[in-house]
Amino acid sequence: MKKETNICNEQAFDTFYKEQVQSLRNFMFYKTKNQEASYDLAQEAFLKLWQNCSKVAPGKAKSYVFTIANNLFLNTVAHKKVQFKYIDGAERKVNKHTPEFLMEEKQFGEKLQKALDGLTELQRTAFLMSRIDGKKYREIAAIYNISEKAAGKRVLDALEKLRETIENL
Amino acid sequence: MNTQKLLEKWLNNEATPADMEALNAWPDFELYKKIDQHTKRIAVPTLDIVSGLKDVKEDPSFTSTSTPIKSRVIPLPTLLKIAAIFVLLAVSYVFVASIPTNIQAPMASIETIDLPDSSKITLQENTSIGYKKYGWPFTREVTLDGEAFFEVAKGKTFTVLTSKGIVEVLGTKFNVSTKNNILIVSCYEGLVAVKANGTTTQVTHGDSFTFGPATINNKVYTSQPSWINNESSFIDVPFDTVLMEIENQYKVTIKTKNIDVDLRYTGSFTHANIDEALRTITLPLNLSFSKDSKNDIQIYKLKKQ
Repeated sequence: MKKETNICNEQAFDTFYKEQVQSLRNFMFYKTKNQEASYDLAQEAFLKLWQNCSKVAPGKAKSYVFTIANNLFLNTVAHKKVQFKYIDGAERKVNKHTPEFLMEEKQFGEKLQKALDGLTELQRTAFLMSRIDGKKYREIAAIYNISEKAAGKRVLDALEKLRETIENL
Repeated sequence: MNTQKLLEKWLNNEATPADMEALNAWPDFELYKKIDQHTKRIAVPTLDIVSGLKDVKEDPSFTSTSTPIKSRVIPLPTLLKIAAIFVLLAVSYVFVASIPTNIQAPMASIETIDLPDSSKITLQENTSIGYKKYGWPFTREVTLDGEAFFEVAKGKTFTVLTSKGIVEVLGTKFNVSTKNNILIVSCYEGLVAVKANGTTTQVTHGDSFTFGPATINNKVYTSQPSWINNESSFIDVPFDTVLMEIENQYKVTIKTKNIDVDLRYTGSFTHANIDEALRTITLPLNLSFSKDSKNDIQIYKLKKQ
């Protein structure tokens, strides 16, 4: 791991923010499914980091903001059940697809949402960070403070559970 | 290879082409791939990182709490700069304060000096003093060679350094003379302490001490020395001391004839008129004087009548 300077330095803070804000915001988005709430939680976590920068050991800033954001999320009132939105897939824009195909795609999307809701919070966020953000097990492990192997298992378990649920729907 | 292991590698983006071949040959993988593709299409909100960072920094709790934190990091050099300025000022002050000011009263003229704390020094002719003008608030110290009258403002110790002794003052009026290598301290107001000949003598107002080979105590009855008013005055001094003073004041040479060397004189003479001065000192002692062509003066005993 590259050496990180103390985050109390404003330049170091800026660099850290630019590196991590997207991934933290996504993390919160996977939990809240809410664009604004996820942004606010991520921003608040960075504020807390700045306020407590002297207490955060260099190199621990990343796990600090993720933990703080998670705690802040848990403190919020039970979130509404909302659905993720899908970006139009590349194949959708291709006209050759039949209405049957599009229908089938839509149905699958709905099944996937239900299956994701059936996952535990930890499984879902770990899985989404792996798939959408392309995070390695090592990075997920760092966020949850678990071993790399446990992180891998969590993602794989999530995938297996999704498959099972979708097959049974 | 175990499909679980392969899936795990695939999920971590570590599957080799051979792994992928094995996975693609596995009918169930189609569904896993579909889940992956659909998951990746979940819309993630976009984020403007630059304005996000700006938002964080504009939060009141960011600026308010960051100030003390920043103050630990940034102001150290600033503090050093300020400290350096003070050190520089202090050093230059010490340097400036140590510059001595020397003043000399010219021949046949009285000089008055006002010191920074409104103390006043009146210099007899041919007297020089030195003091530190800019260091005055810290060291009220005057070096003296000659004779001077001091009117000292109340305050810290005021010190007169002479080659014969040290006079310390606590707000007073006093006269210090080092003429003829004899230290004479007369006090007209207040109290002065004189360190001379290894002892400290307190001179109160109305006292005059002569620190010669022996310490002699005399009295003063005036409020300031007579030379301030262009007079020389003496209390019970050897007569030749008076004659030396006349020679000094009028730049003349005096010869004596038939004079008792043990004669002592108490009185004063003016600096304005030599004839009057000579009359003043000779008449009380029953002496007479004459001037010759070269302006030399002879003093002799009056013949018995």
